[in-house]
Amino acid sequence: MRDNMAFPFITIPDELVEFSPWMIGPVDEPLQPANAIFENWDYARDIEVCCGLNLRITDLSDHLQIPLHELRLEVVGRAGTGKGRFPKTVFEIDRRDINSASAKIEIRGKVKGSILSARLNLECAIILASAPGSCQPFSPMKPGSRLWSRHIDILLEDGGDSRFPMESVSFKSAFPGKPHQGAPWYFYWYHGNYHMDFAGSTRLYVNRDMARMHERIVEGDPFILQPVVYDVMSQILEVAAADDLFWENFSEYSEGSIGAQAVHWLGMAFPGKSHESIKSLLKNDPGCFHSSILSVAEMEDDQ
Amino acid sequence: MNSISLYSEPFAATGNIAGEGFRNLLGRPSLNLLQTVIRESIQNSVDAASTGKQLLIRIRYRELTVSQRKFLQKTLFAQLPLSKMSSEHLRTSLEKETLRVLEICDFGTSGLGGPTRADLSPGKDESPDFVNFIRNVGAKRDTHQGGGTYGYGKTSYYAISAASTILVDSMTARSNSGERRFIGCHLGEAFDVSDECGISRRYTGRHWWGVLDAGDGVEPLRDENASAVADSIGILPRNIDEHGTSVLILDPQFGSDSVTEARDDLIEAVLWNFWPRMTESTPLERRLQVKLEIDGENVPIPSPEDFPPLDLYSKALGAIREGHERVETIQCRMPKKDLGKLFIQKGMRAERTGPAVRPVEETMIPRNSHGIALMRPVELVVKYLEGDPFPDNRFEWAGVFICSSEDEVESAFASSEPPAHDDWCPNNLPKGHGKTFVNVGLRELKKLANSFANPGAGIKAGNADGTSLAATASKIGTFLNQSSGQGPGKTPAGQGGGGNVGRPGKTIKPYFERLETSGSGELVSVFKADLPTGQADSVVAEPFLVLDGGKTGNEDLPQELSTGVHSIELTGTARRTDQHELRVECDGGTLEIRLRMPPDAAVGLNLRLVKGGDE
Amino acid sequence: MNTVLLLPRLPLIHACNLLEEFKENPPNPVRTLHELQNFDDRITYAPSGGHRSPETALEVADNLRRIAMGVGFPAEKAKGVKTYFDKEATKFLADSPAFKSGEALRDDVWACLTFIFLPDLVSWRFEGYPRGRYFGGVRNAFQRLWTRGVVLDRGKGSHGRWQLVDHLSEDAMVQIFERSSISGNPRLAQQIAEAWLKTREHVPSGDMENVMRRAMKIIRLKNEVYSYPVLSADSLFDEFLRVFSKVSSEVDIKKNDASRHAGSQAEGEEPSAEAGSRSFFSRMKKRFTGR
Repeated sequence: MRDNMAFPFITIPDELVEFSPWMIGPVDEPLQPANAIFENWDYARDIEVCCGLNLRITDLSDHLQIPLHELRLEVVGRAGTGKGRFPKTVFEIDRRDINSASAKIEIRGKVKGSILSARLNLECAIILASAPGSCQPFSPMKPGSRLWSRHIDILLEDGGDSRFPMESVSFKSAFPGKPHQGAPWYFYWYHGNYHMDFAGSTRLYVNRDMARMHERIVEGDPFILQPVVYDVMSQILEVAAADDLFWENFSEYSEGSIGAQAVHWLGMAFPGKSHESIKSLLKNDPGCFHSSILSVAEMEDDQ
Repeated sequence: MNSISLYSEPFAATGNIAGEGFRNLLGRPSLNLLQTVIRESIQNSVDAASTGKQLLIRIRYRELTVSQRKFLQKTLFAQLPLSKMSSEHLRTSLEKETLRVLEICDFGTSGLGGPTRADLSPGKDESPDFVNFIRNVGAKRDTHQGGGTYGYGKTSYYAISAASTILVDSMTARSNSGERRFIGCHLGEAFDVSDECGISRRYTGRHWWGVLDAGDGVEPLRDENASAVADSIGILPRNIDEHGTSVLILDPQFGSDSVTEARDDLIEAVLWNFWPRMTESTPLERRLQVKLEIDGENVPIPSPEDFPPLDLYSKALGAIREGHERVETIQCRMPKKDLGKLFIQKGMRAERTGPAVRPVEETMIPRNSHGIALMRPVELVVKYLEGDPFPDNRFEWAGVFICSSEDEVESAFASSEPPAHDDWCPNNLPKGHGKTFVNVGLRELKKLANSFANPGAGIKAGNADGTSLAATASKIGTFLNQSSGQGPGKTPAGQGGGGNVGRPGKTIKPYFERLETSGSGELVSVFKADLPTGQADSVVAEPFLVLDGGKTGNEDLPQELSTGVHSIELTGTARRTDQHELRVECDGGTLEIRLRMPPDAAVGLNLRLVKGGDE
Repeated sequence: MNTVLLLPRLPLIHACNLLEEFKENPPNPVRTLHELQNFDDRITYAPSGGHRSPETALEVADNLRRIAMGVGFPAEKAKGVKTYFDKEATKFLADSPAFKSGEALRDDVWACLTFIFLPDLVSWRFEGYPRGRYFGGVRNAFQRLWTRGVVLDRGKGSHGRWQLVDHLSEDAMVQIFERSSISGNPRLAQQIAEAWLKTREHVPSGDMENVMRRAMKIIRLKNEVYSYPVLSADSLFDEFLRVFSKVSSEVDIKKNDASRHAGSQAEGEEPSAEAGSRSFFSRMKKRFTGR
């Protein structure tokens, strides 16, 4: 895969690192390859994780253009936890020197279940451990330079609400007497602060009382998901596009924030359009504004 | 001593089974020959075990002494078969510089009793073991829920002998003839011999050395004669109470000539196949004692508990024996029947010991266990059904399945076994319940074997109301949560992405190519992008700084930390600019964009295509 | 291992409804386990993994209320009083055994504290029911204090244990703690705070907001290419002090330029700013570390 950003120094390409992906499991139990969800976790369950790297220090020395005897690299494994765009707290789980003798490196750590919450974000990174005495113009020079990394975000399924913000509820009991009691879904979002974490401040409630619709959403029927996704996007975009505050901070939103999502969706729905032309479209031709969003809300059927 | 004579079996007018046909009956065992021999012999011993007596198996691998070999050459095999091939094989073995034998002796069995001739019926309470072992082919052994259906597997003895020859010495129990018997047997190919009148006669290829009887056959040497011959060859002595049988395989062919390897192979074959009868949880009366002797030296055989992965298998079997609460019953629904019990034990993968530390290609003991030992209530391993290993190779697992002792079920599984008893083949059974039982049993076991180590395959967790929105939530999540680059490194596939940024005619995706120093000594990054022809009047480059994985501009930053366009060019053309927009007038090709690189920040690039009335 | 005390959680959906209700009827805090029963249909707990302990949440609420009353809650409304409450509450929360587990990282746990147990205290501290102060998240009235406390705590028994909590300005707190890329890395966040505190000694307080904003942007940019969290506290402090000193020189130069009527500075004079910042840095480091 090609990189989509430039670092100010040479980094290590994937071809030079044979990575054995993260494995996860309860302590003293066999670890399983980590994927998006780790089932049946609770605070009482301590977790062990590991991953492996296989590399040749001579290859790295050639690539980074740093003489072998001056190249000091470390592999650092870190874990983060807590829901949000970034983990609420991050800690180191293991650190290993890469020296010529150790081409195979294992990063392994045990994490107390009691300090975890909702997710486990694992990162394995190769960093420059100390400044080399001599190097070429583009070689990394400062300790801490990030040369390669892989990470994975794992939801810790505790039977609570650690999933993507989506929930099926009976609207009759959740919103008794409210006007949206008869709606097939309700997208709640916290508006007014576009810097807030998207996943943390939005929630899509699916009405369990409407059995057929509910069933099709559960099945992931793309024809139903399109209006749902459209609704999510258009609610945010309509408010944001008309809000000067949103435009003022246009380039400032952190990834994962409501603002960043809105910026991305605007790019999808109105590619190449200036801020002014989007604002004017919403004002003068709201139908076109909404249909443009609807047209990009199409989800491919992956069946 | 009676003189020992050779008897070569002629074809009867009604036909016999020829020697090579006899060999073929073994089928194609899935085990190697030594394993088959060990399995066959010990299985037979288990079936022949006298009730109440502990079974002792003694396996001896030894080199014959000069006098023992001389005895074979001059006395026992004074007469060699007329078949050229058979006699050559025998002679070659007998003339070897080192002639070895494998002697497998059991004590505490009934010995090969019963009539010595196939045409005589056994007496009351007599079992026709001698005839079945020496003469008949594939006759059913009448042991209730015994280990083998006795018979074809014994050809493995001949197959492993370079001389296709075995010597059998048996002390039979008093209730079963009560005598010592010795006979030599050779299994060769069918051959023709012309007699002095020129009449050609055809022989089956089966030959025996014993005492010729009145005219049409051969009898074993008996009692003192038998023991004298056995002593001359160094076969383990037996007194009159030491019932049992010794089978001596002449010139056995192991994988290599190394005695150490033979020793290791023997230890493994015994343990890997008979551990269920050797564990601490085996009741004493069923427990098998196996002693191994190599060239006169006793070689201890470790207990299964000390021989990983049999430690885990032993635990699993122990759990079934004690009725552990996690023991699973494998069931057939139509017709409804309990097919047997399963227990799977997982554990840290223990270091292999003894012969199992040999290189993977030399040992039969897996480095990482992930199988279910299949057995019938007789508790001899039929085979290991392999499942998926734990992805975490610090761990391994071992399962035991024992089919139900209910006759209908047990006999179904037993009958599905090929002659070497090393598999369950439902296709060996006629249509009916039995076939269904074996089919269903194997199907269920395979399913469990494949899922034990990977129980999490497939998302299953649900919401409070039991419906799982997991799949839909990830689907929408993937679609909505676009993620831009993560620096050097990336999120695994399936997380993030999904944007439509790459749609032709709107934006194109640049990729970072390299760093370079510009003519004026500035650090620049070179991005490239493929520009499709006819898509744009101009291309706009929008560099940005990467901040918390997102984008930001140069605001509030000192000059040296800011980025900007250094140049854009459409390679191979004269189109070039140092501004942020390049006129391309619908040309296509490779764009090369150079950006000013701050020394301490990462830089990304958006490339917008402008056409017609855009902007 | 100690059993985790499972604290009551308020799911987002109920939080939304409650906020609507607050606007119509002033909130009534839950003060006893008995009163908590009124929320049985809305409050949840982790299904397993510890011991349900609503009484712990009540106790925390009682203590926070006591701290507030100590400074004049509910009558006293001066800003300085509320700031003082924040600092004291920060120290209390950082040390509270209730929040030594993953429960402290859950937005719904904090939402329960604000909505159910202490809505009156929140409405005193932040008038007008601002949503962010009630909902869980970086702006939650108490969650933000807890985060500040655990990160800025120099450690039990250490000299000036709470100095950072006491002296960091609200703006500096917000700059550090509303950036979860920074606040999630305690060592990194703490060393930024230390560098801020050191810089403040030499920079007019009127400039500190500007300096902090610019410095934070540089630090966050650099954090993309250098893995700051893997560096030692000492190297981080040096690094951040360097950033602060450079930024403050620039702010200073800009101010001077402005006062000298902009434009007199030639491009070629840039390096002098660099040199100036270096001497400023070494001056500050010497004072701080004695080296």
